[in-house]
Amino acid sequence: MEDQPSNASAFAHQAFYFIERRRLDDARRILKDGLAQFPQDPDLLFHSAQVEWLGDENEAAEATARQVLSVAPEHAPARQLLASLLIERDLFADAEGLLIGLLRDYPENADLYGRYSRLMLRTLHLDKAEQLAREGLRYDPDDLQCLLAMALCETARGGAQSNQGLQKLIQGHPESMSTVHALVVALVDGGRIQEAHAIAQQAMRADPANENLVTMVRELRIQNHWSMKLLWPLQKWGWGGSAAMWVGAIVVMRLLRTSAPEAYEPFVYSWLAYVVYSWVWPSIIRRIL
Amino acid sequence: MSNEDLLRPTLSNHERAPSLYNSTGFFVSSFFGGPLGAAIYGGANSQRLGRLAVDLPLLFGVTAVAFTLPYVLYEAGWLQGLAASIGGSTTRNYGLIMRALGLATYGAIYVMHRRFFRSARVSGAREIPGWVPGAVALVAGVAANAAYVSWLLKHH
Repeated sequence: MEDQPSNASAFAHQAFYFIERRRLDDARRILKDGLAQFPQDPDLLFHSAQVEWLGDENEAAEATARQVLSVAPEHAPARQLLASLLIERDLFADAEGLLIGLLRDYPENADLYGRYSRLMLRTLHLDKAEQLAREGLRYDPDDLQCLLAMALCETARGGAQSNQGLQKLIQGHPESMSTVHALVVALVDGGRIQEAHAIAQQAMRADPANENLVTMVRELRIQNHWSMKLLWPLQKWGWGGSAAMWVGAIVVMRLLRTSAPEAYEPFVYSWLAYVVYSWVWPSIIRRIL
Repeated sequence: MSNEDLLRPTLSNHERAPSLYNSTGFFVSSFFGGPLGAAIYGGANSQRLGRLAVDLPLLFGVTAVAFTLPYVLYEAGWLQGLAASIGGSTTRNYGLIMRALGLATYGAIYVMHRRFFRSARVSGAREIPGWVPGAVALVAGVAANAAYVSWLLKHH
């Protein structure tokens, strides 16, 4: 891959080779050379935007993606990338416009339905998110984005029924990071922090450069720390658990006051200590670990 | 829903994208602000979800039930029994009962907005800081609880 390419397409091909392998410095070098010779080539500009995005330079990536669209307004990958960048900036309506435009141009592209479904879920439109994922799966029953969206929708619906979407995702794409993401979300949702932590750790070993995974493992490590074990009712049942514990504590306090006054004060102090610990400790441990 | 319906923009109908206020604020407002605190904070969430008109009758109904229940129990003589069984100051016990009803109202509103809360959790959607609705809910809720308990004790 070290030969100097002779045309824009060859430069783009070589840049993509490096991007796929997360060799961003090599990709930048190739793109710099390519753009020096073909400054308006949409594919080279698009790959530059991709490299900037992967390097967390979102503002630069957005500017470059817009530059691609000024040269080639129909450039589908650039429109898709711009939509992702707009979602990260919480410009959801603009991102939706781009995705709908793409779906009108490519009405049978399941991947686009999956992405639109994730946007709908992110903006709390669960019903539409499900319908979009289902529609996408009609065109491609094995599409990763749609299966991921469906698994997340089913996790959001919750309940006792098995998560068919997640099962299909695991069967169809066991090696995908999206599968890991959906599985970890489902396990955390079910209060199974230890298993979620183990799976995320395993995935991180396979892809240590993935920053999302590193952040996920760090958060799960915090939640799974021995000093957080006492908070398991809150981890499992959230604010519902907290409400139940408060009601329970008040009832116990009142009962102790009348039936066992010697145990009343120790219980009140222990309860207050627990309340302070539950409010303060999670923030402290995030700074320590 | 047809394909054409699916491709009709949803978000451009909203001035701001639907989102939820901080869930800790919701819990704290309900716990200290009682049923009215819970309803105000829940109403703020309904507004951010663009469904205040749909939720308003339910919010009103749940709050009305939460405020009517102590009155009905008082008239039947059960509330006095409950307060006496807890022991200690009667006014404080009535305050505790209002807090418990605040948590029950919180639960009812949570069930109403459950799919939004769960979608936010699963998709990692950011919560909006809830200081403003929280402060309003706390002040109005605490004042309403105090006034209600005092009315209940003085006039019955």
